[in-house]
Amino acid sequence: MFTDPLGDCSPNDKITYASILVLIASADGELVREEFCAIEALMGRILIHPEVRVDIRNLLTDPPDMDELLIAIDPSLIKYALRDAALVAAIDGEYDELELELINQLATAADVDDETLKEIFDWVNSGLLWHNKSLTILEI
Amino acid sequence: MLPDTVHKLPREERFAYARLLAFMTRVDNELSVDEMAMFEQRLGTALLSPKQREMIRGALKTPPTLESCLEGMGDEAGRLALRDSVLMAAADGTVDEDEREVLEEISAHFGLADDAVDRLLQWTVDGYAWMAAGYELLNDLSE
Repeated sequence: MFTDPLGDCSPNDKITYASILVLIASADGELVREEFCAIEALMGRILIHPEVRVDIRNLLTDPPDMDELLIAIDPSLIKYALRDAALVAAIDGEYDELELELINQLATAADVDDETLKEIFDWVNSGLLWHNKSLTILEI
Repeated sequence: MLPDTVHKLPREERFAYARLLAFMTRVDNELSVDEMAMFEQRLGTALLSPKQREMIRGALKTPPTLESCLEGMGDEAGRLALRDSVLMAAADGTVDEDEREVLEEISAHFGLADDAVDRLLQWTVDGYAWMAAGYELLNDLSE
């Protein structure tokens, strides 16, 4: 079901990917619980070892540098980090300016043009709508 | 990974939610990587303490009974656990008869409409299509 290559990438790339998401979540200086949940979920999805997750959580208080992360990660994975960065950034209801700056930096590194970036944002929005439908079914 | 209300539940309800998911992973006596990934994803949103996570992972090896999972569980936690049980059950591409039976039992326990499981299954299909679209969008880009 999950054909996403992130699940099969190296442990180091998984850490770098998650660190990028941490950087996005902490970009506006305040980490909301929803962002924290999203990072935890995305770390769980690619089965990052529980002990490694502790180290990644610690980055929230001392966020890494995007340039260093982009050097460290397998270039073919940047576009996936970009997609999930857009998800994390949208989770609190709006894209902050600093979050957008970092997302644009990721898009440039991944060779993603503006039109495709817009499609990624649209994809995020459609996911939010999809997810909310479940609450209607559940009568919550 | 999307905004949810699981993290807003009281801690004991989040634990009960995760315990029911742990039960669900073992209904068909198989735990595929896809199911495990979905389980860990949902566990992440529950923001459990390290000790609670350890207990839940232990429950994967020795699953609790359905009755013990449902006993005293609140409506919201139960309904969200039902939804995420559907997501997990479908993660390997099929929902077998045993899984379907348990899903219907959970749905009835929380007083949901007769067609709730069917609707959640359709919602799950839509969700996997959404995830696939996200992948395809990136896959179309040149390496």
